[in-house]
Amino acid sequence: MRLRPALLALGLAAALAPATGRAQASKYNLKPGGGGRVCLGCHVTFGDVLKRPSVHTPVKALQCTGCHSPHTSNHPKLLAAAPDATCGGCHGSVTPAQAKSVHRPVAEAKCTSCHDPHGSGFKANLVKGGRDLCATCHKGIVEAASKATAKHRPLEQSGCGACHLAHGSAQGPSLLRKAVPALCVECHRVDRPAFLKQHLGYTVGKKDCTSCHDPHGSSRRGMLYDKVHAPVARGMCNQCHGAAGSADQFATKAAASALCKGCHAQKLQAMMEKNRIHAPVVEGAGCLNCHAPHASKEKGLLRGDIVTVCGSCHAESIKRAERSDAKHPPVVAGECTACHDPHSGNRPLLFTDATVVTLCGTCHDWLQHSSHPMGDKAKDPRNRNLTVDCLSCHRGHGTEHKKLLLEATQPELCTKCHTKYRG
Amino acid sequence: MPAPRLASLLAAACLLLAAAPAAAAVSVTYAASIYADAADRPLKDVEGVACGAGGQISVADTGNGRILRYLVADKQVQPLAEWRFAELPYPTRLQLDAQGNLLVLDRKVQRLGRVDPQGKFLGYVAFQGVPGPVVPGAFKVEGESLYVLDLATVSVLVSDLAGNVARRLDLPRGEPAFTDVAVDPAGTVYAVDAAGVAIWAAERGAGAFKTITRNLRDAVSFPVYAAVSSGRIFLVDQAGNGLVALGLDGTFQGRFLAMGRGGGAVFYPAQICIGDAGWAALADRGNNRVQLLSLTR
Repeated sequence: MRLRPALLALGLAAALAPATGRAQASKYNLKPGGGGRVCLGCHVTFGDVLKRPSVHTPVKALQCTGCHSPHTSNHPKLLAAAPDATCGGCHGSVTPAQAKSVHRPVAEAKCTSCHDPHGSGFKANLVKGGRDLCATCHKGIVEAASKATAKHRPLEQSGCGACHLAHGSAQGPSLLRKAVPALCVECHRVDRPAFLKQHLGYTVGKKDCTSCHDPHGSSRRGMLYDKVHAPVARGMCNQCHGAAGSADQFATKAAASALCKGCHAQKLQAMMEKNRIHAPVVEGAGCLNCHAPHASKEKGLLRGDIVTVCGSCHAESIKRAERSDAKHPPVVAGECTACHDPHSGNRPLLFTDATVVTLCGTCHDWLQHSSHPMGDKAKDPRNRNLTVDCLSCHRGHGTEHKKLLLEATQPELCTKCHTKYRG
Repeated sequence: MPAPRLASLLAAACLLLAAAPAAAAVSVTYAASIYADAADRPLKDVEGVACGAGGQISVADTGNGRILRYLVADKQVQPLAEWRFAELPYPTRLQLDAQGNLLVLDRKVQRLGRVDPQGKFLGYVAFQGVPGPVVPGAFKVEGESLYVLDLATVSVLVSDLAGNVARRLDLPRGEPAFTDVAVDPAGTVYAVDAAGVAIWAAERGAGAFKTITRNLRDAVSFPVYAAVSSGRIFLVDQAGNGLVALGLDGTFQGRFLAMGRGGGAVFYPAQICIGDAGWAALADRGNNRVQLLSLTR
């Protein structure tokens, strides 16, 4: 009988299945040789998965019910439990108890962002190999590292994992295996005379290497960030700090913005002459609240891209823009300074122009897009102290409606002022 | 020049702006707006209000670089005075002391000035007892004490009204961006963290601040001002265009007002003061006006 060899094979597979598999078979009252082979009856293309170089252990053992409920489920993909509970059932917590940093997909229980739950061509069932996987989310960093002329050898040789852990780190931020500089000095011997010479005699071995160096590589010698503060580029550290090797070699010669004023007096003076100073300019560390003192990837030596810097305080404005269906191009491009002066201004919200109409007019020719009266002579009927301007109908950071409009439909919007047309 | 009249506005626009949640025992009702001075010249970018005894309101007409005083009585708003000071070219936040002197935070000169009840500039508050210049970002008056948010040292300074600093409370460093300080009658000092959207508090005698709010982001976007009154903290949510009531323990009690241009709506409000007869004045900066509100408890 032709069925006999198949039944024999199924019986053998059932006998060889681990105890859990038998328990599952028992739970579902599967016929002998059931389990994954039953599933393969319909999921015929799954055979290819089993041939992949890295196959998830329960899949290899054809224990589909290890993760899936075969009949009904409250979870997607007929999973027997929520995704994090499904993976955690065998793998437990993949992060240290006192983690200093946790990878976002881990925190969000999105294991399948990086791992294929069935099988893949890469070790640990990763969906992509090497830097390609990390580039899925960290494209900018990976691309910049590829283009860098001054490359970091560990990254080239061992990939991101040379310095970063995949799930969580107990010792460092940004998933670093250890905090900087402990991580760096594993390779870089800071007691070498050459090291001291490279750092102009300053004993920087215990300082934050990443305040000057880009660990992912850069286009500058010594892997300095692409934008370097002029005194650093000229090797004039003592313009701001004490003499190399002295007891106060790292102390700055003045505090906060007072130090910056030594060179940037005119710029600071111009800021102070305006009506409103942006709080970070005068708060605590002053200029250093937003700018890096030594080197940065970003224009103007900003501590991060401008959305990150501005968003550290104005997170809700950034989120509003992200939520908005209609996108205001300067907001999307991270050009906060297209409308706002980051240092000071004469108007609320630190707008860069005297009026909203002239500000928006730098990009939008409003007479082209609308014939609605605007400006000094167009009084807002809702408020005797307002004239009609762009913000009468739009919100720069976005709304839940098209064209950054304040209301969903034209009638709703127009009847805010033109009340006689209300239904 | 006719003074803005409350009577008709009260009748027409006494509007419940937002129904308070069941747990909240306060509601906010729009009463009227102040749009102009005695000569009917419009207000501009109003950032400060101080509620005095007997219905007096002082207004920082910031965009016009002046301070105005009104009397709200018998359902009418009567302009009383207009003051301009070269020493205070850009007045923003206002507070009154027990003697009726007005304390003014000027954002351009970044100093606190004092003005007597007759409108005479008495000088700047000269802070003593702290190293380096004080950069006041916000302040409150409680009894004979001044509580100042010092941006330079990121701390709250407690001084007498002359500026002799008796105590310094360091604020948490890192990500917070503090926009205001407040104090309750028990002496608990509150600090408003706009970046973290949180309220920090230090009880009388405490050496450090701790957060008292949880998940405030759900109700507030960018808090800039806190007024403590009758066991509540009223938070002005500037970017969120609203007013939020919290208990003194940080519990959320209600959210009021909404973004807009008409009466009862706000656009980037800046400061609120709470009067002694269940009413409040709100500096509605983006709408170039002061709104008078009734607080029903």
